[in-house]
Amino acid sequence: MKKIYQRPTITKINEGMPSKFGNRATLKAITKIDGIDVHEIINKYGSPVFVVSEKTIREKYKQAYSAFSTRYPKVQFAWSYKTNYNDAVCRIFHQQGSWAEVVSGFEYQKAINNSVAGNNIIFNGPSKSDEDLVLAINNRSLIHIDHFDELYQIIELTKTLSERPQVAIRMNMDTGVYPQWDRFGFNYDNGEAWTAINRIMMNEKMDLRGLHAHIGTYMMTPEPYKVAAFKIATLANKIKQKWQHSISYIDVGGGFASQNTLKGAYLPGTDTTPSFDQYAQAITDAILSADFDPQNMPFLFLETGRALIDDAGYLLGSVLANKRLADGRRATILDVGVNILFTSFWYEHEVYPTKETGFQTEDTILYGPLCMNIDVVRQSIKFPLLKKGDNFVIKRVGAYNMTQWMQFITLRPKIVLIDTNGEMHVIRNNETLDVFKDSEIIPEHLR
Amino acid sequence: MKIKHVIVSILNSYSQIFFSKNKVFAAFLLIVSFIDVWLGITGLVSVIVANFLALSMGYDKKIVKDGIYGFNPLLTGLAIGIYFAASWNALILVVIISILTLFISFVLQGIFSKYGLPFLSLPFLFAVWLMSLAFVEFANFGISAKEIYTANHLYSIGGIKLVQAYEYMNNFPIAGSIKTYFLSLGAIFFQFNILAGFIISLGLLIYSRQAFLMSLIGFYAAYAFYIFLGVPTDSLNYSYFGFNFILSAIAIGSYFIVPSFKSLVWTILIIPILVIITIGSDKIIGQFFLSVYSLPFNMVVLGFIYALKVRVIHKKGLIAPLYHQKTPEQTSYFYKNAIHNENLIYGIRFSLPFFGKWFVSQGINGEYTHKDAWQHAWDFVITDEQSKQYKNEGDLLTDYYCYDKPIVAPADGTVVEIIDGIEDNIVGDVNLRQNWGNTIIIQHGIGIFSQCSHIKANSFKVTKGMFVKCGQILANVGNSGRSPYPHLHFQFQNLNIVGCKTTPVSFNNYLQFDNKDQKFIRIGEPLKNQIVSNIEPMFALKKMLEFIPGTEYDAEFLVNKKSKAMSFIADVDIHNFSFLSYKNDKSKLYFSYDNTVFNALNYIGLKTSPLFLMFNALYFISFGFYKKISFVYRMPIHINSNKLLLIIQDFFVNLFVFLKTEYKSEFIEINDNFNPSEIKIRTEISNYLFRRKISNTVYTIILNNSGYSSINFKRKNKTKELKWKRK
Repeated sequence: MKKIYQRPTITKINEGMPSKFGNRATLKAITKIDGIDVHEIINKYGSPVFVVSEKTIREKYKQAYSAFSTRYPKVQFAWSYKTNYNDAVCRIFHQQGSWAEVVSGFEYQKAINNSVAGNNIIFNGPSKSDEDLVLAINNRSLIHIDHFDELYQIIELTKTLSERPQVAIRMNMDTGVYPQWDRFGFNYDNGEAWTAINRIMMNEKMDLRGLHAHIGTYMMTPEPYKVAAFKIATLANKIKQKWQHSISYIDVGGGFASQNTLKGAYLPGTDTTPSFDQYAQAITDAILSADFDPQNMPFLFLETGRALIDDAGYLLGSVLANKRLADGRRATILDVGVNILFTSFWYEHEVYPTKETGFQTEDTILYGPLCMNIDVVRQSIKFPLLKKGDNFVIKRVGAYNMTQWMQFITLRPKIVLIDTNGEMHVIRNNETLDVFKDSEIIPEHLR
Repeated sequence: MKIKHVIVSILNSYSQIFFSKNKVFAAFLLIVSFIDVWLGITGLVSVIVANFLALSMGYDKKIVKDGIYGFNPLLTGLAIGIYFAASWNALILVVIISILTLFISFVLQGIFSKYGLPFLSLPFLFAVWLMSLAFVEFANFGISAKEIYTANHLYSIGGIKLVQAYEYMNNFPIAGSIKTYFLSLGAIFFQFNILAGFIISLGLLIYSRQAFLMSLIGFYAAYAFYIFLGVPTDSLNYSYFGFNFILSAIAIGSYFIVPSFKSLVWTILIIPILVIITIGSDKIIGQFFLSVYSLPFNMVVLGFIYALKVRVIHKKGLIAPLYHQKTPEQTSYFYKNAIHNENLIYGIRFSLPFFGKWFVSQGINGEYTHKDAWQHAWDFVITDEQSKQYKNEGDLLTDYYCYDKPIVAPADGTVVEIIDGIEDNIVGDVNLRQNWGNTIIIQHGIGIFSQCSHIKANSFKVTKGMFVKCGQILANVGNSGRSPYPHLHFQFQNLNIVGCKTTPVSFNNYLQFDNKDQKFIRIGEPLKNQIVSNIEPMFALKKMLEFIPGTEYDAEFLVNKKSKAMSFIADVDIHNFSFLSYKNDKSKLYFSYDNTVFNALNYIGLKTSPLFLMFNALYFISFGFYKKISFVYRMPIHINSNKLLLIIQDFFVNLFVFLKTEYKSEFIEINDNFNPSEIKIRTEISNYLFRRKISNTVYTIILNNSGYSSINFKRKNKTKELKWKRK
């Protein structure tokens, strides 16, 4: 076998026993994604490039759906557009049976363009214009009211519209997590939500369809969901008692953690994040034990985004340079920076070589290509000794990156989808200078 | 007491001798009894007395109306007419013996009904024997000689012409056996002549092709066996034996067992036995100078239906019908259809014992443990895309997708047994000492239990003795007992004993997934490697088809745009059957309504009735709204088939059925996902002849939760529309 060449390195010898995690930190290379050679992708579509695996999306969806639907008879997923609103990605979810969960007029339009039926769209978020609301009301979309001003806005609109708004209220509550999310929706514990519900019920021109609580994001334990589901169920029964009105659905939102490791976490995410089963168990336990009419149980809605898509996204890139920092640490500059890997602000992303490497690793800082101090992909990583031009793969980047990325200093790259047959499709082209030429206007006097 | 009620009860008493309630047939029989006027009178008086008494004393009106209390007195009345010459004294005797027979009927009903058996003509038998033994002492009564000197008697009432006519008929050039057949049929009404037999057989043919066929088969099977045994067949001619074979064949071949090929075979098989019993019992009874009359018929029929009742497995072989249609062949069509549609024996619809999609890892007669006495069982697990049952390495119980998932009740029932406290095995281990692990048994009906095993310890949500509803959570899947990896073991059985022998029962109305297709299964036993799930009912749809007993409905019936206002009501009878009824034309639509489906069970009435339109259109509506699935169901063929084809089919009911009626419903549109106020459904009824479609009818149904619901039907230039709304 041909020996692998690697650049020379000096490693400090630590005396004494290895720690309980052992002392080897070789990273297994990712050579293929869904059967396609990583280098082939880079050669064909350039570096960096986002790769989305359709197979993984469908598998994850089925896993999650099965976890809930084998525990509770009426389950509906709604794809959280903000997590990844690439049309192709959304359509995969819709094909699987997901509805759409949108938080702006723009996302709403995107969902409509993806042929989602109006009444299969959940319209969330604190910002909805009159035009957005009129459209949503006429389409019988499910409008999740965030605050009283929005409620008044809808009441005002009903005076001129013939269609009855189908609404739900979003609530925040104490579920035992810190910090408590209280910026979205009506507070449950101080009775604000109950007041809102009564106002909706008293209004004769709208239908209260659901109750929604989104207790947080990247929840590392399922227990708070149990508390939330129980509180919502209690409220639903209170509505039934007072108004003889059955709530059609309970929306526990999303916020399920993916297996990425948060910055500062002691153990890797793969070991600590709960499985879909654990979340499902907690949520369905609470709803099933609530006092609902067994013939008319409410639907359980889930808007999980991150946990469904994160694993399906890969970011492929190349090493631009290696350098030694003043304190002696090694720094590697990648062509992937925080501009396109926004989540590196909160995750310790896993970065893998694409070829087999030796046993030696070095404590390395991974920098992005931007001429900006904040552009750090990993502050510290035991990284194999890659040289200029070598490729790498960053795992679990499907969520938020393709929506929160920014055009800063460089242009945004292509997104490639690998379908279930192993065929590659460009699902978003890279930006070019023309994109800017088209939207920027130069005043006459500067021409 | 209405006069009509009385007339119906009298007519039914006549036709009931042939297990029928057909009025035309009854009229034929009434005429036959009056061929000898005196016999006609004694029979009729006897029936009137018995039915009047039974009604006025407060016996069940329906039973009286059906003629159940009337037919035995009728037979004794006829017998007295034969024994005693016409006189007022004899008529008084008729009244007394009629009362005696009626009371014997009551007593025997009390005894026999405990075993679920009819009393047949035993009351007649006891009464007529007692009378035969006693009448030797009746000095004041003249014995009728007309049976011995028929010609003299005929001459006295009709002169020479009647005698000639009688002679002509008796010498009518027909085969000896046919003559004997007619004589035997006539003998049932103590009319010992060919004319009576001919009229009866004609009536039988009009009433039911199947009963007619059975009368022939019963007779000729016996005839053949007489020849085989070497017993002279003329003994059939002058004894009252022949009708035993005919009645037994009709009873077994068409009434007490649903007509099928197997029932035909059994009918033929039973006749030789009957022949031996007849000849043998005659020798015993003869010692007392009595005739056996219908004793062999009673012995064999009662014996046979009792023997059928005590079987352990009812599914295989012969089916004893719980409900009778108008004719035996219709009963057969009804049951043949029902076999396609549901669990007939237990009358319960079973759904799958879990939520969501599950995979069958071992089916019936499986390769691991579902063998022999335990073959009718299923092992269910959950699989992922790669058909793997676990994530990660599968070393931990929690890696298995099905582990700790809820198990739900497959139907309403009572928890009769719970075994708990057995710890889960680690993956790969089995606990052979406590083979079944934690187990729950639910009783769903008499002799029908379901058992779930290998449950997780301490996960039970119900307790022993609790009544559970279909779909209620019982416990969670575990890995206790003989279970190397988590799975749900499910079986049906006839006893409440853990791990007892299994019994074959099917599941109803579930979805089966093949690749990307989903298919509706109206009844089935999931096979190994299939993925199945229950239908999830939509509450709003269910509400739209909820006809609460006592509710009145305003309706409008439009035939060719000509409108007629009407109203119908929902009701429930004493047997707990729900039905809709329309007073004006007395039509009734029986239906079942449960968690998952609305199913029109039966329709009684005219085919022009609005309820008949409803019956056809709403024959089977699933409460699960699934747009891409066709819900295909079978319909009994006698409802919508061409009448002529049906008559031909009637003759072949035992051998093969070449007609088929298929019902299909599809969901078209819904105006809201959760709480729709309007749902559009398209249903279609297709008739097939030898698998070729010969006609089809399409119905458009719009169900509404507050306004009018409607059914639209259009064929050529004929339109029908029914709109209804709760009053």
